[in-house]
Amino acid sequence: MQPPRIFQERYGPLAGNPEIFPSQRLPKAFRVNTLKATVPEVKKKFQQYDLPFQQVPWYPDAFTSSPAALQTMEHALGQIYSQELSSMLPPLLVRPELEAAVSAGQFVLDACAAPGSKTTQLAALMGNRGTIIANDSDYNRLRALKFNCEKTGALNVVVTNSDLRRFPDTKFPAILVDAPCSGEGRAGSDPKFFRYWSLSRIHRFAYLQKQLLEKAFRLLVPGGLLVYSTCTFAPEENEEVIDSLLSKSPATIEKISLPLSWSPGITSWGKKTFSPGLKNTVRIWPHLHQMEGFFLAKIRKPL
Amino acid sequence: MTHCTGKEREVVLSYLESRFGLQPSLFSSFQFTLSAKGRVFLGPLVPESVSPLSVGIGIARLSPSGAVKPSTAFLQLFGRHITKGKIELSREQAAIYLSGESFPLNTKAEEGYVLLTYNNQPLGCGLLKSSAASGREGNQAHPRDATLKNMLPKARRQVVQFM
Repeated sequence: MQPPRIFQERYGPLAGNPEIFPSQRLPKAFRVNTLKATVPEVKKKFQQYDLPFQQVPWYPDAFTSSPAALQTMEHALGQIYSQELSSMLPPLLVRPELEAAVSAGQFVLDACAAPGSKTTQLAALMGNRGTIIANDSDYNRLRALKFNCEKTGALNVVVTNSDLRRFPDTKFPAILVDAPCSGEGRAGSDPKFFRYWSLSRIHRFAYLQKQLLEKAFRLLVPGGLLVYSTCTFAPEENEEVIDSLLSKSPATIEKISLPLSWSPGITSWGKKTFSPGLKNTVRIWPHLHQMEGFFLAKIRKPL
Repeated sequence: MTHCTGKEREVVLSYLESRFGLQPSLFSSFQFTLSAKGRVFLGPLVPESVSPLSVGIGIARLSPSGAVKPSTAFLQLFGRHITKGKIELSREQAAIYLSGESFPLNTKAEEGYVLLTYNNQPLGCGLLKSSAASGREGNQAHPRDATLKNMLPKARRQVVQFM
């Protein structure tokens, strides 16, 4: 389905092209679940199967391949995990904090965790050591999270079912907030997406996201790191949410360094202007970066 | 979810050691918890302030009589440490297992829960039962006909094209 004109008018100038979604489907991506298999083992198997695969330069555990990757024994056994490339980015941004948290006996929070792609990735990055609190307010979606933890062997995960806004007062050195969002970045793979897309939906999510982010920031220890992400393009759900936190707290935005190409966040939208620090956030556009649309911000609480 | 009592933990650890050769020290850094339905979970330390829905992964079921049934998730994760109570399957048998079917097997292995492997890769849990028709127990010298009951969770069953 073609995006409505208002969608193209909103994002065409931001993306530098009204055709945000490539006509060709993005390649299927997976990551090796290092809790159960090694990268060389999986590579050898895919060579034996004569399946196409390509290692992702910025994340050696990740590969692009064909949909047939889902019909391998490695997938059935949870040795590989099907996950969008852009969705693998948030756990990589907290990687240094994970090691520190494990060493110090501190807990890591995945605040909006279902269905568990990032949680199981965190578990793999932590080698099943330490504790991840995987929280989500949606009980039904937690079933998928628990299933994925069992399948991947993510032993160090504690699942909780709280509205983050009422989450008990616990302090964390590292928090992921992969916020519920309008999901525009995934519209290219969902033919029905534009049936339910609307500006009012964007504004409803933005209202919720501001509350979630403020609460998550309060749960950080001084010096702690919070990664905020969405899979949407709407500045109301991205830069504006971060800008709102900056205006109410001592939060600082850290520059993101990843060995891949992206577009910087914006510092104005319509009549609104945002903190100059917002240019240190990351926007992923499908037509430019060959991944589903995504937004990332690295937020530090001062000591 | 409640913490396992010392006795419950001991029953599970003793079964895992005697049946699969798993040393209790492998699990010393993890907590054992028990659900209301008798599922034993192996997981990490839990902060006091949170009320968990689950802690770690379900490793076994513990019946009131003390019988232990290991889970596929557990056997897949710790399978590389297992030294006994395992059966290596052929390619065809492994494909049948992953699709969720039970099948007959001629084996010397003891009855009970077993780890199934293919190319030494842990596949999951099966229940080995002597076929009533064979009328005798198997031993190291004499294989006997048995049925391998598929214990792979329904949601994990899959027709695998590449193996």
